[in-house]
Amino acid sequence: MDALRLCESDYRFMSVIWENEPVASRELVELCAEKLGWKKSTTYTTLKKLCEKGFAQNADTVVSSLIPQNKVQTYESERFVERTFEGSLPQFLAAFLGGKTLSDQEAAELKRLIDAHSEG
Amino acid sequence: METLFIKILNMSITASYVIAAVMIVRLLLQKAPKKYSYLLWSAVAFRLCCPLSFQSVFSLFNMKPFDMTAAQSYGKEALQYIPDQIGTMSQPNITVGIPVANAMIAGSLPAATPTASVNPVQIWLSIGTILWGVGMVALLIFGIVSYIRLHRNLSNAILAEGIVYYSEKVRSPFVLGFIRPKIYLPFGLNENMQRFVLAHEKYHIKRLDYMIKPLAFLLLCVYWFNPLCWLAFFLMSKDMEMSCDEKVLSSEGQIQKAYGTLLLSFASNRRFPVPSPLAFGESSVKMRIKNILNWKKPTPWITSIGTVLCIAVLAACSANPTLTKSTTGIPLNQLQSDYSLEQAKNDGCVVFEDNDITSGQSEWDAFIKQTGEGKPASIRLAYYYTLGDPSQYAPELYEEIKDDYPMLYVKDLTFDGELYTIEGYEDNQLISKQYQYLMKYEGQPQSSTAIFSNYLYYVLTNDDTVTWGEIEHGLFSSQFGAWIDHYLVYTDLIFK
Repeated sequence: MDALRLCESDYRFMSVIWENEPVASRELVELCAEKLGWKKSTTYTTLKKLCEKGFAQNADTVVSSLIPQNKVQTYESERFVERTFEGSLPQFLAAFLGGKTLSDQEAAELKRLIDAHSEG
Repeated sequence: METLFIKILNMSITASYVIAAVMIVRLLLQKAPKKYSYLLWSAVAFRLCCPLSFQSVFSLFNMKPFDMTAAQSYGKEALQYIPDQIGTMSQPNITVGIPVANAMIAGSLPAATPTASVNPVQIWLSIGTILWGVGMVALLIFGIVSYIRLHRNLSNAILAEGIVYYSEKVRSPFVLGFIRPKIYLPFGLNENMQRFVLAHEKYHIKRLDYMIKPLAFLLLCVYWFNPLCWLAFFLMSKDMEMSCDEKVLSSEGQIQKAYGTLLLSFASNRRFPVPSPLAFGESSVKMRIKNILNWKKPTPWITSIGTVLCIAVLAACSANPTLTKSTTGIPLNQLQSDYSLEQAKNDGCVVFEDNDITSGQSEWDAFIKQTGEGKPASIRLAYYYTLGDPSQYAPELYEEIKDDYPMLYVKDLTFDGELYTIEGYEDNQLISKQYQYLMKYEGQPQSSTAIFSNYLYYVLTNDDTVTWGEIEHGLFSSQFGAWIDHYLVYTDLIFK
């Protein structure tokens, strides 16, 4: 069986659970606020999602993991927000106008330029 | 709302010239640090925000091919190419501040059709105003919605330290937030990379770029109909990024290769291609990488030239031109109802008291000189009439009219390079007439009972062969058709 995979932020959240389980959900909210900089709503949303996926459980407001840390790996998310909206609000317009993505050929050409650059 | 739209259009025209000027200077500054180019855009922002400006001989608009005489005829502080009352003008009249272009526009606007209930220009104005409003709101909503979506997507970003967060949804680092900005980084940057990136983003924050950019976007929402404003926004963003890149380079030393590679990895780190809806020249990453590779520590020589040029251009682009003394301050229809003879004199009007010039001779001479060279000009005329000696009138008549006097009529005389327009308000009604020629007549009165010995008249006519004698004859003749269309604008009498 393939190792179970989580995206980086979910993994960090699970790490908080692994380190502190069993943990009262109220306490988990505080831990996440401190360690991850999360709002209460973010913590609950993520907890609910991971419970549904079977990584954790929330029994009578006590949270614990269902899968040990060594079985889980992270993967790089394929969904980049600023693919569409390049960063800070109006930057999406820069993406709109400038097309921030490079073609493979352009990337290769730039790579060559950088490599050829001698740092004097 | 329509008046506001006209104001926006006027500001948009001035700003377009400033954008063009900034773009040209940017080319000259190509080798200089990009912070100068970035700073130049503030002149554009100023022109887009503020309709008024100070006057200076160093103004960009004092240079060829500009001639802002007509644009300043409604007020020196604001450049008005399109008059507020365009919708109700019988002969709509606009200028763009460049005589050659003015000549092309002249006559292309539909004249008021007396039979139709609405002026065609008025209809176009209404449609334009609605389109403008709709576009503005749509773009604003688009901006706000995408901001909220992005913000929500970043809610599970992981706090690194202070204001720095990691998120797997971030492809390349950026700053977000209007009041308390946060820096978002992708996961997995090594220590060096993170240091470069943070230096770049922290410089954005220090310079308040995270506020400048949304404000610039707000301006773009207002001026969305002007393609040059989109171009300006795009170029400004690029200058903003490049100047931050240069800041990193100057504080970190020889890191061009590493930093360039880092940017390249952000840009080419993509899982699925997105075709850009509006491919626009070179992509900005490409420009940035090239800029990084070409970067050299600026020499004091370049720095000083850049600073001086920058200040000069900023001043020239922000200032309004000083031209032939424009006599007009506020539009005619906005003059206060008790506008006095004294005020007219102080405002530099050419003042005639009981048909004889008493003030503003030099303004008039300047007007004649300007129009004599075929250049557009405008001047404000004030005609003051008193009743004089009561014994000249029948007592009943005197009683009836004495409260109406003294009277003051204020008119604007404008020459657009082709035609003379005289206009003024009578009973709140705009009366506007156009003539081809401004004729000068000098001589002695024919009547021996005249109270003056010499006259000097300037008269608007449509016939440059007509004599004053013929005009006078038409005035007194009862014969049908003897009347010659004319408008006496200037009288200087030498009394016996």
